[in-house]
Amino acid sequence: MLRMVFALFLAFGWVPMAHAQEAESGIDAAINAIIGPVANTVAAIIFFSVPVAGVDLPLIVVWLGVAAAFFTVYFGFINLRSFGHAFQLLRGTYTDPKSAGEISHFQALATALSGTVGLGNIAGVAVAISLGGPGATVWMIVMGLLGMSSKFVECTLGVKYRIENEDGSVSGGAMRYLSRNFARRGMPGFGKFLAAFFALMIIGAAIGGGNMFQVNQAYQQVLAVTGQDASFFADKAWLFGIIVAALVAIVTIGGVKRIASVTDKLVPGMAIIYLLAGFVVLIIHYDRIPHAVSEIIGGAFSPEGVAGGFVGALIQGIRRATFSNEAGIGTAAIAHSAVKTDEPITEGIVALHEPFIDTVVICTMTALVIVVSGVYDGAGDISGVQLTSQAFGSALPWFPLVLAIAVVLFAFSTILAYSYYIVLAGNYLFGRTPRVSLIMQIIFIIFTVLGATMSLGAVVDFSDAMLFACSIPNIIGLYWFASEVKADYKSYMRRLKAGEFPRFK
Amino acid sequence: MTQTYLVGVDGSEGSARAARFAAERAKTMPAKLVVLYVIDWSPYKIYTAQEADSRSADRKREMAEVDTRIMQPLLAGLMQEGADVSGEIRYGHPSRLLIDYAKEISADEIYVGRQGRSPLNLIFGSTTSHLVQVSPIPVMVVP
Repeated sequence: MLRMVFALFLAFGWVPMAHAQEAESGIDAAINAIIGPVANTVAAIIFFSVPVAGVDLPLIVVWLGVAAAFFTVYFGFINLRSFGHAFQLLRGTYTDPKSAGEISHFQALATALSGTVGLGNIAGVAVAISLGGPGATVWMIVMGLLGMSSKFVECTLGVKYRIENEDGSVSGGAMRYLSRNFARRGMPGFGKFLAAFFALMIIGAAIGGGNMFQVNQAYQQVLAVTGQDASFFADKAWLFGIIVAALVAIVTIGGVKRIASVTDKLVPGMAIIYLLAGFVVLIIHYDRIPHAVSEIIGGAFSPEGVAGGFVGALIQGIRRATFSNEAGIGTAAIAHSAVKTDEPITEGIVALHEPFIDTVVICTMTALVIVVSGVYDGAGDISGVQLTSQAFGSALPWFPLVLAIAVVLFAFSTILAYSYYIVLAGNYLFGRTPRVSLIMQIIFIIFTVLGATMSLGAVVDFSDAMLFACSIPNIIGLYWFASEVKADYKSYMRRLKAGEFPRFK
Repeated sequence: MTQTYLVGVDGSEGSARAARFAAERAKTMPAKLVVLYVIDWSPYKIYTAQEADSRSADRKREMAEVDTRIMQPLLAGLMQEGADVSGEIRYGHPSRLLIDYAKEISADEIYVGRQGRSPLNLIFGSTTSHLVQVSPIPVMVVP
């Protein structure tokens, strides 16, 4: 409780300051100067690195990569083997029509995707390529494929250890399986500690990657299409932040759920438009595809001009893939656990599609467009969403405007998903009361305003740091529970083959 | 074997008329009457994370509301007139679910009102017109 009050005090402390300096033009710069060092310190702790082959290798990246690879091998390449069965589950082959009206596998996946498909897929990939070269794409795809296995484990556990609240709603996610499963194994203290650690970190992740990064990049793109320096929003990042924050507040605090429903309905359509536009760019630049592919594959193993060479490209690939699909982070387990099923394994299998769609399909498209259009060469001062926008704009001059709409929608849906996660984390730590929820929501929207004003570098480092920190308690739990999930998986597959589950389609 | 008549209702006056008409016919046959209320729903509808978490509870509440507000008064009225009637509330696509449910209970005829509740279908309800086109068993459309 004390911690929360302190956080609230900190957060509110900035608001009067912001108003006081409104008359001055450097309001954005002032916010940057205050928060920048804090963000950098947090990032430095989480990204503790060891020098490998002349480059600093952050241990957290190793932690995420090794876990994803381990689960892939341990579950016998479930990411590839059960991929087809996931389609059957999504189509409702095994869903009893009598349970209609409950959350279907498809709906759980769609909900989870609207939280994960965000600026990570558009801006994050651009960051990976400008820092890690085209070769980072390969490592991003590899990490996306391996991450499917981590996602399988966490989403299975998310459903298995969800709880039903007094009002009949369900709560799942890493907090629940860490605390409940360790308690079941006679280690309640350890489970509670990990769950509380996770909840604290997810508050940070919600503020960072789920909020500041999204609003920051949405602002950049809106700024770009409204005339950059000549734009009304130039030097008014705080105003953009306040507008977004107000919209979020209307939904979360004001209870106008309709805005959230509409946004979430538009997101899949925008994702399809984005992919189609990507295809068009590739068709227009078809003659450059062979060169781009050789750049990507060559760059994965012996990149030129990339800080840290091979390891540098690898680090960027893993970082951006994980930031985008959140495999191993434990967040998506929250969205997946709402599904109606008696077999938790089924949702784990459906969840395999999440990193696949997010990273292997959407992120790869972004990467191909950027590399094919060649804009990353000597990009120098532009980064993030602006690079992606230029890449699309080089072939489709009108597309940056569409991208701005897509970006705002993606950002908004991700922000809304995290505005819910932060409340769940707050409820776990401080109790399920309306007051706690309200305080969490207020803290959240304050950071929406701040996120718009900060520089991309500081926001990316802080966002990564907080999001990746969630993987520390989560993956400890995943390793611990892996044998249990494997036994459940074997039992499920045996019964599936024996035809114990009636088919309805 | 006694026949089974299925009535699709949506809370509108037209559908209540269809139910009363079917009850009259069922009495003379005699046939069993089953009243189905379909809550329009698609398994591909997209929910936010928060809506998803409370979906199961919301579903129970919605069904209870339909039951007390529409189904129970309707059944009580039909029973008073001496019909052998039971009710069912399901989620799904109205016309498709009517056909699937008719198969499930081996219904012999389906009764629906001509006009549904939706103000858009002023002339002929879209559920009804779709039903008439695809139903494998006779459909009685009650004006």
